[in-house]
Amino acid sequence: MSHGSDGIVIRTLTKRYGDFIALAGVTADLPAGRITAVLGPNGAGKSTLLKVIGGSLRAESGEMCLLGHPYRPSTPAEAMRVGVVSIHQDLSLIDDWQVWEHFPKDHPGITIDQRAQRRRAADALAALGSGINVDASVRNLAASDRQLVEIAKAFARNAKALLVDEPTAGLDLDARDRVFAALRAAADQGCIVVIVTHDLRSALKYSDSVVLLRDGVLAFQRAAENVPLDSVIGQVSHDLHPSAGHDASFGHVILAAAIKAEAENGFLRFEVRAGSIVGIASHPLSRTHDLLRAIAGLPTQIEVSASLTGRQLTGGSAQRFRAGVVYVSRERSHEWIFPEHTVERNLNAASFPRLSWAGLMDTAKERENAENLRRGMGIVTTSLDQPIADLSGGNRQKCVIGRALSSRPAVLLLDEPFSGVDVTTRLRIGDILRKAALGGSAAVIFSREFDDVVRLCDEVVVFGSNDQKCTRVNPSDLTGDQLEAFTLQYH
Amino acid sequence: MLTSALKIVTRYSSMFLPAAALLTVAVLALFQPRFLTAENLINVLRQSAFLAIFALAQMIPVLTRGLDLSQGGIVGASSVVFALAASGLGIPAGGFFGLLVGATSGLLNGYMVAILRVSPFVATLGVGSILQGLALIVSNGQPIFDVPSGFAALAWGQVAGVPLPAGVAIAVLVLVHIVLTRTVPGRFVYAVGSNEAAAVLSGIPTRWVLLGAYTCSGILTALGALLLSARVNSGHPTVGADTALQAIAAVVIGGVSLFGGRGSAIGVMLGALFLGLLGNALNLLNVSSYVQQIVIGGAIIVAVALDRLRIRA
Repeated sequence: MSHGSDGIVIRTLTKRYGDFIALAGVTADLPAGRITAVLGPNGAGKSTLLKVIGGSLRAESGEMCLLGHPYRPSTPAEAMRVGVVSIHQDLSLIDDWQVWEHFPKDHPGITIDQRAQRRRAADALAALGSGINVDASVRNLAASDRQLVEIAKAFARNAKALLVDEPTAGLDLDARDRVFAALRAAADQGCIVVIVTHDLRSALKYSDSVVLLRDGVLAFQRAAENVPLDSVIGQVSHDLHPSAGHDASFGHVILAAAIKAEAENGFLRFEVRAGSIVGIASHPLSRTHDLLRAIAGLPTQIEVSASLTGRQLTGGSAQRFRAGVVYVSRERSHEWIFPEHTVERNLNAASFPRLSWAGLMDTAKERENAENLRRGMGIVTTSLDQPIADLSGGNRQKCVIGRALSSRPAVLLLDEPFSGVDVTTRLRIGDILRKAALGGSAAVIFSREFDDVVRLCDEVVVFGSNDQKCTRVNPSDLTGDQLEAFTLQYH
Repeated sequence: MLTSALKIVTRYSSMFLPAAALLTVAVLALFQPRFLTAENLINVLRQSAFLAIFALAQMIPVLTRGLDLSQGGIVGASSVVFALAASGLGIPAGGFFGLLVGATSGLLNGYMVAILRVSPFVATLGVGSILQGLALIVSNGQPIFDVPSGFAALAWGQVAGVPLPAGVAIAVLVLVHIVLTRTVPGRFVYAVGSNEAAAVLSGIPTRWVLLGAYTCSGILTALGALLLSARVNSGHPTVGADTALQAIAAVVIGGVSLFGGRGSAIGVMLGALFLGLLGNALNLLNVSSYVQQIVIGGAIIVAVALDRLRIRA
């Protein structure tokens, strides 16, 4: 399958973070003209591997070859100079720019030849089969189109290798198809395409080769068609077990929300009862993707009025937090993490007043609270004093949900809690939310991971494309694919 | 090669300050025997005490990812008000009004930063300029020497052998250290400085935190201004001219990140002591005060560059 000289060849790469071994002698072949998917649970070393190849991290030992030449980049810029381009989850596009402005100029110097640059952008997008208008403003692009622009941008640099972190996180089926079609087009023109993803289904459907990592060790590399989905799910999750409590009877209405719409009665309403977990699914064109932000009191473009146990919610997000409405944002790095602080501080950040006496922090209580959360959430860390920046994406996610739960919310609003998180962690998050719900609070989940929504939620509210109507769905009768199909055709 | 050198630098960056201080002391003791006398060291303590108070005041907004450039104006205005009020109403009442000037100015800074969302740089620069102008108007541009007797004792007195300003600086250090490391408001300050958006979503009252941070900074700055007035035995409108720069230097050299969320009061104290030692050393070696400015500027830049590297590492 691999010819060694026409791709990236990796031999016995080892990378440590302090005592923690992120990669333990990983060997793999990433051939040109193929899509290789790197899979594995959180903390398996997937992102680390991608970063080492992309030049933002350096391995302690081991070798890499690019097209038959020794390859050992020490910065992303150096990797880019030899044609290895990384595309990150936090995309690098600038909202205020038009699409074409992101594309590389074709000549050195400080002048800009707008026409040439536009043509270059159009050519690259066309080569990937995308019809995005190069004059469109990035602000108005859908998430999938942003991803496509990133890929085209790398492609226009004559990239030999594209390293893509979670290319389809938060995208619906159609959008995933478009993104993978573009990656396939790039591979067909000779690119080495490497993706890291938790979206196992798409990975097996679209990629040629699968590299599976566990605990920093290569479990196997195989052609994708020889890898059945069930076996990967088994490999990626440590302990599968169903979440209980689907048919619990629910209490009083905790949260009632009304979304201003142009429908006949002027409002779309839905209610959340104590003890329940409610999923929100919406048509990709619906503006309700900001619904949870609106309920949490953050500025959005939709008008939502909400009440908590009969009391109208007013004020900004801090006031609503104190009322018991706690929001877990989908903006990973921007709105979640205190990057230079320890795991303990991050876990306790929403509970400082509760862990104090007359304004003085009770350090023993702080430690105990953090330790309980670490155990309860199954957070993998060498110590509570470790900086949170050292943790893998999934473990950070567990920290943030732990922090939110530790503030003892009446309603927990979770925006895309499963994106970039492995199967075990998803199940764990589900169990924990279920436990919290059984304790009398409620959770509302907005997610495009329909399998998880169906598995976890007691009911699902689906919003149509033009925000004219909504309906309630009982997820126990549905599969994730069926719910997604329903959402897409619900106008 | 370069990256591994950087790694070493960043790993031991917390040792940089004590090492630099030790080196300064060693070099000085070697070249200038007068340096290691008790008299001179007490002198250093007395001189560093003012800077330490101003630096501890400055560090609070810096921890919230802001800064306070109005310190010079606050010092001038507090000093003038202190002297005027003290001559009419006595020293304690004068001190009260001096501190009130600091609290009001800090509140104004905080209001603009927290509520109006003006950038701290612009807000405090503006407030500082206004206060400086007011101080010059009220004092007619001249120092106010008409102060009650006992005024100077605030700066030159001793408590149990320790110069009074040094005693006050130590008290402020203990207070700021405890508030920052052991209280809810302290936790809030670090959280807001690290990531304001995440702090909002964690239910932290970020506006109150910013308002409080600038107000506390103003009060502590005014406290330093009272002692400084006593030292020049007058109400002096421009006595704080280089306060903000010096304080920011001590804060940065003391290991507080200008990007917010990281740093300790003890580090800031060491930063102030280091600058005090350095100044004293350069004086004893007869280095002109013009050159001293260059040295301090270089020290600030090295400290900020180290901070940048530490973030990247």
